[in-house]
Amino acid sequence: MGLLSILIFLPLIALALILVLPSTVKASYKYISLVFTLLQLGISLYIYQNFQGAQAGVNSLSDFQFLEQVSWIRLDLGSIGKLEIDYLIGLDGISLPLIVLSSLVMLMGIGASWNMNKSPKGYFALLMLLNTAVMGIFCALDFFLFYVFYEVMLFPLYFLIGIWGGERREYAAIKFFLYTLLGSVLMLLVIVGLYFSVINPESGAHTFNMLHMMNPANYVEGSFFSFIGNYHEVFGVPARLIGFIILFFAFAVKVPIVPLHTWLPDAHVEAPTPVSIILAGILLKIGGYGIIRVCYSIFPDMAAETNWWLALIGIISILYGALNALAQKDLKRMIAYSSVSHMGFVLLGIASLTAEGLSGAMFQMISHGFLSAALFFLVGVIYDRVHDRYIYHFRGLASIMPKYTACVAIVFFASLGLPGFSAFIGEAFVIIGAFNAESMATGIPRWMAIAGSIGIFLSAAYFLWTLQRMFFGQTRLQGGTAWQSALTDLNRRELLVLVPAISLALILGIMPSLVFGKLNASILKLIDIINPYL
Amino acid sequence: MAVPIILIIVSFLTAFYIGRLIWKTFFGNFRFAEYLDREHRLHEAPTLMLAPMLFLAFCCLAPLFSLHPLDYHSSWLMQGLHVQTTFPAMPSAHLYIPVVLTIGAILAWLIGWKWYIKHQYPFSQENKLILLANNQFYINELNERIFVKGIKRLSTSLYFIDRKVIDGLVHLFTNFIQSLSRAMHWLDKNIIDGIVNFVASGTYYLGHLVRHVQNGQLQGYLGFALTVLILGFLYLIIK
Repeated sequence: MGLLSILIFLPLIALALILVLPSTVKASYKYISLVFTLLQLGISLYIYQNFQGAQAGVNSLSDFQFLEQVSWIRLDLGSIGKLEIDYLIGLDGISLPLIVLSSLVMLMGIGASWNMNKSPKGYFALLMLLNTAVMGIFCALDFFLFYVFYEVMLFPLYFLIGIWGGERREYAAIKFFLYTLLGSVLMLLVIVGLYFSVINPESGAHTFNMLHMMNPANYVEGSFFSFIGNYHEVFGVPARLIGFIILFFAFAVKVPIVPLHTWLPDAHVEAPTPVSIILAGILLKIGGYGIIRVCYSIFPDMAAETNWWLALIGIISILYGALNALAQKDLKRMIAYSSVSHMGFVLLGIASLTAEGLSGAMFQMISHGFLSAALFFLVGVIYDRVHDRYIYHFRGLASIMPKYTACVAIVFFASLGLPGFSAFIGEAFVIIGAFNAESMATGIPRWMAIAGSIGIFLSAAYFLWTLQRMFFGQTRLQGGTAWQSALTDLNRRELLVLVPAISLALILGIMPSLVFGKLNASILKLIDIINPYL
Repeated sequence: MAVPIILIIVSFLTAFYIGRLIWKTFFGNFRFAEYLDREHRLHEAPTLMLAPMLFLAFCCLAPLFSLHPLDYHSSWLMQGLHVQTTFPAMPSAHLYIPVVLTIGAILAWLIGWKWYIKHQYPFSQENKLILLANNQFYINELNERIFVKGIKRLSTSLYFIDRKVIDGLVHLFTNFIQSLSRAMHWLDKNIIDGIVNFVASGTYYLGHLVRHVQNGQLQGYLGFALTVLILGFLYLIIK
């Protein structure tokens, strides 16, 4: 059995163990989850070490690494042909950094769930299922398999938010679920359309294989999504454009882009701290990954045509998210809106269609992954102690919680893009890419890069303003002496979760080659695929 | 041409405000004798502060830079910074500009002495220019009002739009689907189920009517038989 399959399905063993063990040993569930997640981290780091950065592998199957292909569903449909679904997983430079990020953020999530007392069996079981689904999404190269993992991911999240969440948890859970599901069922239509448009050159049957869908030669002539000479239209819109838009819509809900983002503040705020960590750290990146892997690789002609609009959406997300974050009074909601803003950078970078822009977008995803996880963890620290997150209820926390203040200050500065930290590399490269796009004639005007920079300025505004309000000055707390005694400084477990994240932000900020080295070839290959259509 | 003139004027102003500082702080009448007591005494600075200042003061003297006051080229600093230009240099400028600046500085100090030592200050305290200068020309207020308040207002209104308009559309969609489902439920319960119930109650009613046929009266049964017979004959005749 391949290493990648072990990585994906290891949490299912943990799930089985947790379900089977009786509630009398419920203290062991978190240890089981921790052990299996640590194993996953070990495997992902081993994969990272053995990954060949020079192999690009974006649209050629043989170039993918840790490849596993097993024929899964082979149904003879009589006159229509054969249904061909494979269990096809593999890694290239775009999915590898996200795999390592996922295992790390999952570990942070387990660390944050250490004091979960309400139905721990269900909680940790669902967390393990989520773990499997998330790893599977990043590795899957067969569209059907991808879709299965995508839907499996929604299911545990609905319960995790809806049962273990805050005050308005049912509303947030169903809003999140239905919003994301709307996108993915529309994606199912396009999947089926693509299935009927693509022929596997080896077997002659229709296929769900994503790599075959990326090759224009595999398309049936005259099919709905064929590349060449396609006259199909839906309400006057070319068929390939509709396919791209629907697929983009599905992933855009997850990124999230601005008109479709309203699930995020509610889901992030009402979810318990570990679930917020996983939501912000991993799930938002699935949107970005989907745009690159599915929309851009399968529809490169449409990518070249629509990138101006994607960049505009990115800019709007950046500025709108940042301005909204500035208006927040709830700390967790502020960080949720800052996530919207930072993911706007990812979309801007992707839309710039330059090597710097795409690399910056990928790097921003990685950096934002653990920085936002650290941010939500820090909010959780306060909330665990006093069950209140209102910014105006706290003042001068630095004198009573110095270690916490230091961590918050570092993470805030890292998030806003201080040079030396990873977010600076991500944002700087995105802006460089957007700026260069005009000279490379990819269709992005210079003013979009300038608008992106204003986003960085606004993020400094809301982060530092919050830092000042809550931490500096004389200590004045809404809850008075009861809060003063409850607000103890960071304990060892919390430091154990935070210090690796902060050090990783610093290390990646100083040595971005750790990530860039692995994804450079894939990014260049992706641009090569799209360039002919620019 | 405007730039050198502005620089010369700024140089005069520099000399003036330094002169004002020196005159007001060190010369004239000492006005704070009542603040001095055993705890607050004025004394000379300690040697640790005096020595560096003496050194710095010494390094400000001109001979340190050039022994020829009228030849700027012989200064080691100018020789290091020398740049070959395409246009011809104006050596006379290096004579009359320093002369103008020196005369201007002396004049500025004389004016300062007149205003602050001899207390012949010509302006009143309510002078508008003095008010502006004391408030840094209200740049901070401009900044606060336009940029800070502007961005804060923009962000609160965008948050309002986010909650009421964008989320409002989501809720509108939700309410529409819920109303649709309530309408469908009404249709199902009253119309479709209604037809089923109608058929059932209709059948019951018909049965209720037909029940009266079986009343045990033989004349009724013979009457039915006769009716059917007559209908049969009529049918055979008409056919």
